[in-house]
Amino acid sequence: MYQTNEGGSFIYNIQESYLYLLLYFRDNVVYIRLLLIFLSLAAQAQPPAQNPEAKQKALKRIQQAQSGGKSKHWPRIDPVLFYRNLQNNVDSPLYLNQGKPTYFCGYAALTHFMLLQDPENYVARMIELYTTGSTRVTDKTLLSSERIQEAAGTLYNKGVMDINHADQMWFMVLSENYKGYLNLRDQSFDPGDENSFWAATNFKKFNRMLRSLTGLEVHARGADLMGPVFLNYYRFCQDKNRDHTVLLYLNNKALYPNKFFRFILPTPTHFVVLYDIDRVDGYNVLDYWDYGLRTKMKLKKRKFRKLVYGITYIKVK
Amino acid sequence: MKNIALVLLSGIFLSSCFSAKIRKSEDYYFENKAALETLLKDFEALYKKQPFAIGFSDKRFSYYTIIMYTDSVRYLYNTHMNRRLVFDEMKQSSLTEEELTGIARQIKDLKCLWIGKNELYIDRRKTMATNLSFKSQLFNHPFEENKYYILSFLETRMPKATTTGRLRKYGYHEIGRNVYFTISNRFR
Repeated sequence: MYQTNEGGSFIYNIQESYLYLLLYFRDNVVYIRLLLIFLSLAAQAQPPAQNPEAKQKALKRIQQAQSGGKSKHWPRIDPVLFYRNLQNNVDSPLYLNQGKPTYFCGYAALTHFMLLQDPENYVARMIELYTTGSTRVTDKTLLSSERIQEAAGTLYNKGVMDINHADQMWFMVLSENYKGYLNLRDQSFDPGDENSFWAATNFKKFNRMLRSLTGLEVHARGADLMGPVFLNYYRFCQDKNRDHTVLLYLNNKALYPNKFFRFILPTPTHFVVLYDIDRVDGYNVLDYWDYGLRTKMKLKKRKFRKLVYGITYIKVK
Repeated sequence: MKNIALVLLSGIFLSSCFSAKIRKSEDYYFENKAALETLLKDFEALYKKQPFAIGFSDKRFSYYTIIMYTDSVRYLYNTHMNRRLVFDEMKQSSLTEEELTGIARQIKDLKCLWIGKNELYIDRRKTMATNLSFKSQLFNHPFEENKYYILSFLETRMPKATTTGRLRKYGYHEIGRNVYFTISNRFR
């Protein structure tokens, strides 16, 4: 009877929407607690803040450097894209993105940490590298080979990384200068190696890079094949997260679970920066940075233990 | 009699293991074109309300993984944890349980593993691609390869240089107007 004409249908729609409103308010009483729990979850965790003074100094340094123009060391890097990328990174470290399907997650996680902790140091290293082809960090000089210099700025099919020329340069230089056992088979860069073990990072190499690039005291628990055995991961992470920055080495396949095929190696594959960890309704609530966004998810306690292999923590200044 | 049955069963098992492994190709798209286009249209309508990606996390298509995007946060849910809890938490999103269940039913019918959007940059300009992932092989085998057949529906056409013989290296193969397929190691 409501579909006989347009008017009838309209009246029906109005009645229906009132009905929905009534139901909504009735349901609201039931769900309001859940909603509040969720909203409180969303509200309590804030991403680590940058020092505003350091940020302003870093941005000013980028502005001053822009007049330098194109670098003779990096022929494929567009200076406009390079400086815009630098500025965006310092302005919003959250959106730093290593692109898919690269093996750059370790470098991206530590760069995210550097951007939060010491953006001035990051900008200084980047500008020196761009203008001279090398840069000095705490314990060594990062050099760039001709192959890298030719390739930076040409990576494509990596999402936003395609236009982030500064990130391309930085990640490739880090890959080339820091080596771990995962890189033994493939030591020199060939096109496409950004998606291969040439760029991979193991846990020890990751911590070594953090020490070398930041000069900070870096502590770590865990290993490549097995997480710390006698440790309550949740308590430990929560405790350390109060006055440290915590970075996790974990199995990304367990984060996005799939059982499409029989053989999936239980190995760590991914680095993330932990923003917050909490426990609600018996689940661990994880809030972390990766791939240019914050990710929030709930995990069963056992699952959390299963996916974490390494915990790195660094005292926040 | 028992021996004959055993021999027959072994034969079937071995033939399934060693028969030619045929990968999905453009034919798969043309055979399912109507259903795929309906799915895309429905997904697009929901995506406008709330950016999201959805897929299954098991072979039997029983549990969903849903990712909801905001400007700065991605919320990750898996119904394997607790289906009721997932939908309760998502009450603040613009999408209803019915809408999500409807789209999940559509992708299940197509045996699609994952549907979502990704950013692509063509000539330094951002364009969005809607990606649908399937298992790479046309028939089920006991020993399947760990690869995925991905259909990409783009907003704009890709330049020819990026669609040539790099199929095995994450390249794209053009099969229709702004429609491409690739074989990949990752389903997302």
